[in-house]
Amino acid sequence: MKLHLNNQEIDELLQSTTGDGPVKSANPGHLEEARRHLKDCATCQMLMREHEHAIESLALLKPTSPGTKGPICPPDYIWLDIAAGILDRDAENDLGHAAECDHCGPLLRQAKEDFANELTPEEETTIANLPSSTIAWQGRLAAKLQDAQAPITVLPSPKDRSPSFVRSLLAPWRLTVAAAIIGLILLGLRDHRQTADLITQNQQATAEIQQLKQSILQQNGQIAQLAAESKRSSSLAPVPEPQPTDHMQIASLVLDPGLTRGIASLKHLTIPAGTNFAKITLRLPENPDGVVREELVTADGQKKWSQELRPPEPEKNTNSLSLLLPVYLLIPNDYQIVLSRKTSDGFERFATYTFRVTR
Amino acid sequence: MRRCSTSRSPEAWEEFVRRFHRLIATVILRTASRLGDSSKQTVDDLIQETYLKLCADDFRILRSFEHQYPAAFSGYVKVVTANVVRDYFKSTHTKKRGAGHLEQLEEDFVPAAAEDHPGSPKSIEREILIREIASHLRQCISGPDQERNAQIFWLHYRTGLSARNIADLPGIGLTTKGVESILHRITKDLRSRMAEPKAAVPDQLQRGPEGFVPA
Repeated sequence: MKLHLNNQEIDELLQSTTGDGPVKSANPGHLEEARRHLKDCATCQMLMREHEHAIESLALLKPTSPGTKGPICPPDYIWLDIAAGILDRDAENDLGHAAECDHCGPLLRQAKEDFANELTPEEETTIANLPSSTIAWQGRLAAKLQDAQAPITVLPSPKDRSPSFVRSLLAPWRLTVAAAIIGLILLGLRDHRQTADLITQNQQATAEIQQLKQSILQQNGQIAQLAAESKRSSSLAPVPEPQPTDHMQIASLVLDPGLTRGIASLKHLTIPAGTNFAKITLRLPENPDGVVREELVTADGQKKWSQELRPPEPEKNTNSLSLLLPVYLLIPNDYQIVLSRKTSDGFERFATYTFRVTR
Repeated sequence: MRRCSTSRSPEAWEEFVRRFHRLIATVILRTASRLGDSSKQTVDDLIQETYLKLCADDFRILRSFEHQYPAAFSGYVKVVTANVVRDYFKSTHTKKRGAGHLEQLEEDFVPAAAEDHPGSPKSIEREILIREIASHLRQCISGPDQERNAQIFWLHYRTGLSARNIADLPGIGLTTKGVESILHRITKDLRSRMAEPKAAVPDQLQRGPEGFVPA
């Protein structure tokens, strides 16, 4: 009488020794019988060794050191966002890449490990022993944070607002008017710089509302005009002229000038699938006269696009400048837009804007 | 955040600091340990730095994020925290590099190639193994979820993510138990396929589905 083990029995034997996967409730008697058989059967011993060899092979799939970054690897910061559960668009594609990339996979694993909610006993002890875990330290920090904030008490408290007042706030044009009034009130309370910012925001909001009211045909006209300007004045990598269509998708972003560092202060331009153009509105620190050069530069200093133009009067009145860029220029990365004004000695930089593109 | 913004109550601020302390301290401790300095002083400095960043400009960053992704708020705090730590170590490293510290290499120094650098025998062996397993895997999985299941397999065995971490990832849409179950099923099938060709069992000894069979 010769008996051999089947896959189920081998699986149960392996589980009982390696703890690989969820242990099923195997019949102890049956398992013992399989063990006895294995002890005496050379064929099953060989089969068992092959299974063990397969397990060892699977363990060799992990890279022993991180691989080098390849041309199709997404930016490294993506893995922090994915590990934190922030990215929901394109996460599937990115995960597919991480699963097969020895550079990105370890970054994702590291981010998941850093962000894990569960603490080891050692971590619990270390954190509990930090000075920052004491009430006194936290109280001092709270006072410091509180002092760092400017008080904002502009609107009446909710219970003082009448329903009609609240309803009236919901009308978009009234929101704009209210924002303008708030801006005026703050004019007397705030320092000059904050007030100037609010007025700029009000003007920007008004301009945005007007732009939204424009018909698709008007947008196409703008696109065609900008594309023609771009073609005339582009001094770097020439881009194909964008062709307006009836179903143009535009992603938009408003940027304030400044070289910012760190994800917390970085503006994100998320480009949904099917988007043709990105409209980037730049708030100007000053109103330049004459010709302005706009340059799009990647984080590593590579110039992607540039154009020179004289800002149109309507935009100058709102202290802003709008760019319309074809989205194929904006692969996920960090970018800077550099504005320079024309002087007798050439071009002089006067504003820089930093932002990040995600898809 | 709203209480902190609208009231001058110190309790609101203390509550804000207390609520995020554990989360921020954990991310800082882990990231800083990995990057080489998890002293109490450094960790506490970075905790303070993170709070200042989060609260800057009347919580402008957090408020705009909360509006867009309310469910991922704590995730965003983690990302901000991790970036504060990375920026700190990046700048520390840059300062150290720029401090006039120079290392001289010996004239006859020949850099040793890493054991698993691309093109090394170990790396080639691993590449072959990956292809072999990928080929077996294609036969093990089918149906509408085959792409997702393959992704789960590679994320576990190649990337080293646990079933729980995989289940947490956006777009996976499974519980930890669900991921464990898929991994177990694929692994079992794959192992059998990998073992089969080499274990050439004679025909008369083929096993039946019921387990032990008479020869």
